[in-house]
Amino acid sequence: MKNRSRGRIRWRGAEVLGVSRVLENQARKFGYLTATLGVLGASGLLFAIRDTFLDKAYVGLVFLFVVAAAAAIGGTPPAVVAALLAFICWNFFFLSPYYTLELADPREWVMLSLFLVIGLLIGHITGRLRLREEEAIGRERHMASLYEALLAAQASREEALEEQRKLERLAAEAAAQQEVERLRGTLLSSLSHSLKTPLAALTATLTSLRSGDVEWDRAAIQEGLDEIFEDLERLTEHIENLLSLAHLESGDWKPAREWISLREVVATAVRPFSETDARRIRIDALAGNPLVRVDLVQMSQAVRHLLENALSYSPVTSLVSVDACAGEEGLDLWVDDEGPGVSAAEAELVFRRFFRGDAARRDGVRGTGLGLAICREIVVGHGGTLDVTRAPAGGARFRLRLPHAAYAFEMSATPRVSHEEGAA
Amino acid sequence: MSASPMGTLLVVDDDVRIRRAVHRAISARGYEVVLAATGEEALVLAAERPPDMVILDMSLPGMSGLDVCRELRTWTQIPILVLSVHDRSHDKVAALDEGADDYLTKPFDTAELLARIRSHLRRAASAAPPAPVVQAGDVTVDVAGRTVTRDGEEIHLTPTEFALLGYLLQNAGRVVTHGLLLSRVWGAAYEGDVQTLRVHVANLRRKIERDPDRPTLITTEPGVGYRLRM
Repeated sequence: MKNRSRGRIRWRGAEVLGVSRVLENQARKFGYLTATLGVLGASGLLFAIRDTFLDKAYVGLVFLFVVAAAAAIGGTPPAVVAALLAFICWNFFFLSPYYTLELADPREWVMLSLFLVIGLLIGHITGRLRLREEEAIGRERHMASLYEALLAAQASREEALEEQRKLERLAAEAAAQQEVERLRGTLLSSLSHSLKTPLAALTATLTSLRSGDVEWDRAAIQEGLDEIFEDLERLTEHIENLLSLAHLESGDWKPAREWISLREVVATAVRPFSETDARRIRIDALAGNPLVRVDLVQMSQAVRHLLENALSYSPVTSLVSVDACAGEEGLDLWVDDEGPGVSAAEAELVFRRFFRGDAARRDGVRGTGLGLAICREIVVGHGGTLDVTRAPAGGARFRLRLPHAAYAFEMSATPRVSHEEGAA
Repeated sequence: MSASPMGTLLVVDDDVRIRRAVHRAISARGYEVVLAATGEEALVLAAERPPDMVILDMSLPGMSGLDVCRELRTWTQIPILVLSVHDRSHDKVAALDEGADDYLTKPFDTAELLARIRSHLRRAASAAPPAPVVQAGDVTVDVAGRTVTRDGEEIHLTPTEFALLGYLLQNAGRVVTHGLLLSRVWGAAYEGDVQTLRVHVANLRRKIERDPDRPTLITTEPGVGYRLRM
């Protein structure tokens, strides 16, 4: 591929040079033609009026004109030819005695010699000018062809790079596909596990309650119903989470961003919690409550998942606190808990769908294993990042970072605000 | 108007299981229930015997829930509660804009449904003349005198905040969409300016809520609007 295109370029360069040479030869031929015909034609014309009203001074000027024309068209050699030819014609036809190369007046030799010198000089100077011009054109052509060759070489290099990139992409795609296949396996098993567990519990409770062989007392029936309700809630939550994740991933749930106070986002996230849970949540200063540009439904859901996570993985009497801070890299919002924290080894894994940490399995914490995955999906969709570190008090700190463009402290820094009291 | 002293409810849903479950739950509380499987059927039944409230599923075959809502609003102001399958459904906001009073997302708790039914029927029954002095939580609003007090202490509101609170009070218990609030308080030109609304609601909350972080009077319905609870 590379060689072929380079060969093509060389050939094209040769073609350019060849064309210029042909053009040059043609110009020279025209020069000679101009010299010969010009001198002869001028002689003929001047001869026709020689004996009537011709002033001898004109003859020299006319011939000089022809020499200059030949030089302009064909360069030095045609000019020299024209000068010599004119020298002879002038002497032969216009200086007495006519039709001989002898001269009656020796002063006329001086004039003729001067003419010859001037003619040759014109030819020489014009010729050099032409040469310079041709050199310039040649250089320009050379540069152009070099440039063209350079471009072509670059293009072919890019082609090669593109090809390499394509191969790399294909390889990456194949690897990703493999990963997808592998994940699909684990995903399906986790999915069937997490959907079937509450279903199994539901079926067991319901079938035992409806079987006619035992007379259940009211308390037992109530207990059974409560269990059924809990299992249903679990199932519902799981399905909702699956749907949210599917919508987010397929890209058909795009964030509808608006400027809104961070406090409102957090308040909206806290509202669905039961009173018992809500009492464990402490909302701190939130960095002076900046405005954030987020989709309220999505972002409050993300914060709710973080809170849910913190509440489930810490002692039931401990506090979960929410706070924020604006820094160089953006606005951080974090949720701290007093639980066991997340080990460095699990720090990235916890954001994988269906991943349940050691703590979750050990302590039998209920959860869908999707909350943090959804949370990250939402945060990334807003151009932010989500990670987990250690809270100063020892528990886990889930930190959600929004880029600079997504928050503002001054109402005036955001567009579309009017009205009397204006600033918040 | 209705046979039952508790009131008659028209339940519109194409799924027979939902109709049956809702019927079982609400008829057990003494309400009279009329069931419809399609929007067309619902409109005929409603015209024959006007119900006290309508529970309307948004995704119906044929005539949509939104169309039914619009059609009903041409002749009656009875409470309409819409049921939608998903949180993010735009139908819900459209129905509220068309005059529906409230929404529930499926799956829902029948206790929640019953609570909403009670609250809307009570509101509809007492709707007649607006009281000059309204109590919302621990805040007292003197609509005529344009003053707001809490524990005898006057709270200063700007004219916009008062208008906002006034409109929410008129619709207490109902979900009022962003668009509706903006067009009624600010004017039709502001219908899309949710940000302005947010700023004023935040200011209003700071003044009237005990804990603005956990508002109990004016609650946010994410992605939909606000509701004033009394």
